[in-house]
Amino acid sequence: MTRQLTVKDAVNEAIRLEMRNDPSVFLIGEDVAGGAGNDHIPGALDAWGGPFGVTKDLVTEFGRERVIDSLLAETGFVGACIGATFAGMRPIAEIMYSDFIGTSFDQILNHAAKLRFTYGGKVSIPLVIRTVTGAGFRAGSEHSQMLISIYSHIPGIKVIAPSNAYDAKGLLIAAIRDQNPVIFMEHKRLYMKQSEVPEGSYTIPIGVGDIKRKGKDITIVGVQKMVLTALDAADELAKQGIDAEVIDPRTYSPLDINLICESVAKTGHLLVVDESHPRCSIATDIAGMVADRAFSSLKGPIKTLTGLHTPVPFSPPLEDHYIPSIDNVIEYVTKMLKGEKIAERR
Amino acid sequence: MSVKEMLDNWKLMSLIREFDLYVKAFAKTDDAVGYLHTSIGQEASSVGIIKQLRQDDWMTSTYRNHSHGVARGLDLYKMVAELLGKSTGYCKGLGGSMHIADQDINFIGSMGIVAGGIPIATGAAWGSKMKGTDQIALCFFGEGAIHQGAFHEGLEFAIKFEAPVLFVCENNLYAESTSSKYHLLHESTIGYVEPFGIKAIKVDGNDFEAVEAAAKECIDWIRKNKKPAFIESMTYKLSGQYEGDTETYKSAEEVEYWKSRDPLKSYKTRILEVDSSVESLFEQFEKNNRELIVNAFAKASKDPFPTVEDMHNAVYFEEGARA
Repeated sequence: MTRQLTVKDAVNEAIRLEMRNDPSVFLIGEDVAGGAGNDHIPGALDAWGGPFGVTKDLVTEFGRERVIDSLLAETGFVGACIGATFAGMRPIAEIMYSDFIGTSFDQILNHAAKLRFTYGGKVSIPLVIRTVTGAGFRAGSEHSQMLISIYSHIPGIKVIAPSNAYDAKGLLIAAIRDQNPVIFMEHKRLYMKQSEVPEGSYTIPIGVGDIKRKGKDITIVGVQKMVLTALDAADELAKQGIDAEVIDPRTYSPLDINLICESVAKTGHLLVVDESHPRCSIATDIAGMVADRAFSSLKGPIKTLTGLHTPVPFSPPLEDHYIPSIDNVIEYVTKMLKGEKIAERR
Repeated sequence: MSVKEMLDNWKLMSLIREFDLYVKAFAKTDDAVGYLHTSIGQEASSVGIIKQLRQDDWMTSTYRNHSHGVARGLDLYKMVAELLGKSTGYCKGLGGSMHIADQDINFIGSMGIVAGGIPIATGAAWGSKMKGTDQIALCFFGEGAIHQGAFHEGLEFAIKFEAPVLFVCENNLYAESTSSKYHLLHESTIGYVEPFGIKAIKVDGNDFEAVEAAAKECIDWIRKNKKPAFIESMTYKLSGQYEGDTETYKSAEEVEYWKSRDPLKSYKTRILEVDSSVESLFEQFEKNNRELIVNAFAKASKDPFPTVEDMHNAVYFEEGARA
């Protein structure tokens, strides 16, 4: 009997196993336990487990000394986590929403990412920053961003954005054991998605992409939740006789560009689907790398299908319009294979 | 304190002075590379505080770090090699003058971003406490850093989570070219930290003995109470923000006043009050120190630059890893 787990529970299990495995691992973030300061009330300890309950029940096992409710001050606690690595600790810092990274960005951009390099490769910063990403939650412009291309732009940090529970658990354990700073993105619309997840510890190597669906007619690269959108579209396309290959890069720095180029060598067509804004994005990055390295494999132009050059809107019909849909993917793929012009999405 | 100890302190202050005087002259030559920030005039503050650290304590500094590095006993040759971008430098030449550090002796780093090291030093002290050691952290910054969010967040974190860290604000009266009379909202940076309820001392940073006493008091208190403390060390940079700064924003009277309060001069006077027979030694110290620095430059200037492979290997922990 195979065990099904949600992404949320897989993340929780990965943290729990690593905290059991290594006493220097600890978790800090805003309300990662919840209820701090009111432990005299029965419902205070473990009141939240983060806004999505992802880290629920960790404080009851490990105590407030290792599951620490931070102050609402990301520069302070992310910077302190960087410092704690020098003392031999392995912090997991939670930035409640990807959008809040701005308030700690100097510590990530200039310190976590660069300390090793600036000091000639003598030190390493084994820090994991977990953060919640993505649109589709009716959360408005400041609680819905991906920002994955901003993270991936910076040398010295690794960037992971898993699309299912199995990958989330294996990659998070790998991230916690990694000697480099890692940004681990958890998509809020994927938290309740289930998949088969083994008990016990396992790791997935950082920098290895995964073919989620084998196909021969076109390569579709999906970014995090867009992997699911691409897979749903591929099922519909199969009914029209189009056999799409869906690739999940899983990690964006390092990026398994070879896997994508090999797939394009087979299919001759590439569509990259990413819900982030279109400019300077992971979609344009992958499109550019494939054009640079595998142009001769292409039978037609590379296309990108992305969110829009607008902040993520709140109004539900507009937010639904902002996010690339299954229908968008189907339209792009069918027109690409027919060599038809695709109107710019706006 | 014995006269010998006092002379050792002066000798170390003089070594910093000679280092930066040499750097100042070197900066005018065609061989100089990059931004160079000297600490001329701030020597008493650096030596008086760093001397009180234990060998395994943590330390962070800023781009104005030469005085902290020399005071912590760093190898002059490896410091110079770093200033020249050579592979034999403390950071294999990848850091430069703004990033002198030696993690082998827990000198974590010198941050080029104002206030950047404040949360990091806090975290090292906090992490050591979690690990169960009694190491403390010493964190240097200038008074311009007081305005940064990282200062307020780092200080608050240290107080809230009881990190044993000594914050030292070396108030040299200028944030770059901007006078503290303009940029500070309070008479002193103590005004900013008082509301936090942190133990705080203001000290004349050009009076070596006063600095030493304040640092001793704070460090003993931190080790005993396992909580942070703050020192404002009032000093003056007798050179500019960086080498090449024309310093037209300083008045001649002000510069003359601070030259009369040169920490090396005043500490020398103090030593001679205790023992007037040692007067002939000072010139010899300066000469010997100058020689050490000339030799360090001569040796380091012959060294090779780092390779492209050195550069790539330093980005990620894995050798040769690329994005």
